[in-house]
Amino acid sequence: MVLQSERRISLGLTAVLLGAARLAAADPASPHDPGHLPAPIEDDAIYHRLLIDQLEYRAGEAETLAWDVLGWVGGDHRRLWLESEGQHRTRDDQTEIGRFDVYYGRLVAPYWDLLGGVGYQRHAGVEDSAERLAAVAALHGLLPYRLEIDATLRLDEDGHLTTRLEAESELLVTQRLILQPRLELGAAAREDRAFERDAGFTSATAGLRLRYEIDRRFAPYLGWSWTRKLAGTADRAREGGADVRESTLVAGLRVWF
Amino acid sequence: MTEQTGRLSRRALLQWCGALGLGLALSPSRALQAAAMRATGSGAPEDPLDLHVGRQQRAIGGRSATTVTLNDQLPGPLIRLREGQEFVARVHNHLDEPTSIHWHGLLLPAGMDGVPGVSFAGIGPGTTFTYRFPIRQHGTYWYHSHSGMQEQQGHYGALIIDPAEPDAVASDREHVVILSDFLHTDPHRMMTRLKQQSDADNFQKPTLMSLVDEARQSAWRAAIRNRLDWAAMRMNPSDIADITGHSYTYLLNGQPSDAPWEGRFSPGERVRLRIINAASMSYFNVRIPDLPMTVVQADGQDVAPVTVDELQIAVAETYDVIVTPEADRAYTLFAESMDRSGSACGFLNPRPGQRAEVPALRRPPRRTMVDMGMAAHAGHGASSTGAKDHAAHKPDPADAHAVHVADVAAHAHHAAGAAPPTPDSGPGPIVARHGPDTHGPGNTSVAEVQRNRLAEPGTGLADVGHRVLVYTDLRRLAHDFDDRPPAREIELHLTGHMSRYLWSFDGRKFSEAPEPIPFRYGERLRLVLVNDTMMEHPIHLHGMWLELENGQGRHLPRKHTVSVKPAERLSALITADAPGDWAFHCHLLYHMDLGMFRIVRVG
Repeated sequence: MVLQSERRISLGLTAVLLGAARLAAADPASPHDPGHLPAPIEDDAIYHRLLIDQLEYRAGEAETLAWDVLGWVGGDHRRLWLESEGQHRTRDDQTEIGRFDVYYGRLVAPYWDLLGGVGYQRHAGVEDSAERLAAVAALHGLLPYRLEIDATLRLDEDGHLTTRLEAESELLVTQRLILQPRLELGAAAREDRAFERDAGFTSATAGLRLRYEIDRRFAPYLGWSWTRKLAGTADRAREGGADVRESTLVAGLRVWF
Repeated sequence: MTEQTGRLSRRALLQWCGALGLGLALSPSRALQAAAMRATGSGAPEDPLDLHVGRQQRAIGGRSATTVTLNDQLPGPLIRLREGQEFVARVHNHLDEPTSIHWHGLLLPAGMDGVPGVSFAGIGPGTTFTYRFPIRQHGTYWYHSHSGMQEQQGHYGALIIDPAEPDAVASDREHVVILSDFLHTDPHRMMTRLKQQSDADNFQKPTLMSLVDEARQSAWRAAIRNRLDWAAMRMNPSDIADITGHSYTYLLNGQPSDAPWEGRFSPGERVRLRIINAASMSYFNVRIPDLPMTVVQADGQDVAPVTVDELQIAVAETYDVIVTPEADRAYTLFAESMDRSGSACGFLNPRPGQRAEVPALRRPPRRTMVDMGMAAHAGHGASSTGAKDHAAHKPDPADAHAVHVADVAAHAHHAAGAAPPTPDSGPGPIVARHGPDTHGPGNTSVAEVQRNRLAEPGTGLADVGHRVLVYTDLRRLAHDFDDRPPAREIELHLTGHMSRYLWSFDGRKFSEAPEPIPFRYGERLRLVLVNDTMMEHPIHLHGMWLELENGQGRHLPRKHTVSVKPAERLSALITADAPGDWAFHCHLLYHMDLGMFRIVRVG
């Protein structure tokens, strides 16, 4: 099962990367043609950024090491994106991968990128684990009042449709001390036993992290994170004797390069 | 840089080179180079000027940096020519990458303009290119690389042309003052940084702490409302400079403030300062406390004298000023970056080592709703500092009027003999509104309300309490105005996306719009520039003058570089008398390199 899905992942990723690279290459290249002359400026270079927004230790009942990573590489309008988040539980040495998504995206409006790609998820239950590949569409952007939005719609290989909305903001206390509130809300179209979720809203997470930017690219932080399972998903958890809500202190690093 | 005349300058240069040759005689490879440099000529056809472009590790402001030098100097050697002569320069490229020299502001054949990919192929590593063209003008100009961001690393210098006739500007002594911004890291890395997070270098953003400060100065409600207004627009009022004093070391004649440049004078002398902004990204506010400056030349063109206490110089502009220091003491020549995150300074003094007080940096300015091209709060809030613009939400018409009248009076006073400035010199009058085209996803905002801002002081200088140079002050002295009315008009919008760090014209960068803008040879036309962004852009046309339509009738100032204010609509007349392909671009280096660039084809 694992091997199979790994093969599928690598095939899927290769297909997406190849396709996207071709599209990226089709970016209108400089057709200014004074014969042998070089281009006066190179304004269509490829840039990249890898933002490790969270790399943190979460205290609480289940000690975990969690990550949230966003990366892109490409031009001004077309980019390849990578988004991943998840956590590793030290107690049972299990890794839960909330998302490992690879996208091709385009700038469709001044503050909005529309992305399409494939994603991988792994749910580590108490007894069993499950994993899925999915087709994913995402919308990244900035709302008025500088609210950063990341909305995803996911249709997995078994036909489960889920959605997730993430909103984040930044509040400068000083030039280097920055407060980052964050909200997440998940929902599913129908029941999914393997992932222990029910139809309707599945979970909500709120976080508040205070970082100090020693350098713009390097910032340790302290914070607090609160998660609650919702509706049918919460009922299911209660029946299974699991916690419905969890509140933890977090400590981590935010880095980009 | 302290030489009084061209002859002296050349002699000093030769002496300097000779000394270098001697000093380096022990090292054979350097001796060879030095021998070549000893031959450095005057630039006359029988004595061509040799310029050696090389890379050098040197300490600037106490930190080691990789620089690009000309004849081992930063800035490059002062080139002094005479109107009417033939100029011949051999440029030897000792770099491992192509280079070029563009003679900024000079009228010359297109093939000699020095823009790789537009007028020639560039100067390959290890090769030499010979520039040769007649000098058809006089005044203060400069030269710089148009390749590989070398300008940011030191590849620039002054080019002074003495008039064929006796100089209209009398002075007892002169100094060249080159302002620049030096980056210790590789400029390409800085470019990547800006692409990754465009406000990474800004340490003057509004914060919770500064909100308390602002509330104390106006009122909590106004301060909070101002914050919310900016947040609602997804814009940042502290967005004044993309690269700041956090990364830059500001230089005056290549020297940082802690090892300041000094210029000599004798009390009572008329001293001419030829001020050149050779920075890659920084506008400067220039002033000499206790010493008024009389502007006599702008972009190399003689203008009617205007006396001011401070002037803002855009990137690539030049201003010549006359000062007459009477006291037997030092004066501080202070150049504050427009965002006030740093400064360069030097001293004018009668004796070496004499110093004067260095002014403190003033409060960082903030953008206003006028800069955003908003109709709201009209009649108020020209670029101003700190708390002033927060008060813009509670317009006090009487107060605004008072400021405006005082301004007009001040202009009328110091621009004696000039045409009256634009009637409204608070925020300038609204002259147009934006059409339905928002220039695509690569552009975040449009100037809904477009103003004539030529009579407004630059960002942060509206409320400094002394005389400040404005564009309507500039009145060209010469009488050779081309009276033909413009036969057509070309309108270009300056566009961009700060958070994504995209810069363009009409929402398209150069690679997306590579077809040249056609000018018909000999035609007279009007170029209209509309700035849809919230930053100033110094727009530079190669090969031809931009005659800024600032209300001075047949004496419009001729500029090679025109700074367009946020949400401004301005126009310039052009006589397309130079056949060939010419670069046209924003002179903020990183904006140009990201696509705020076009080719103009005259044919």
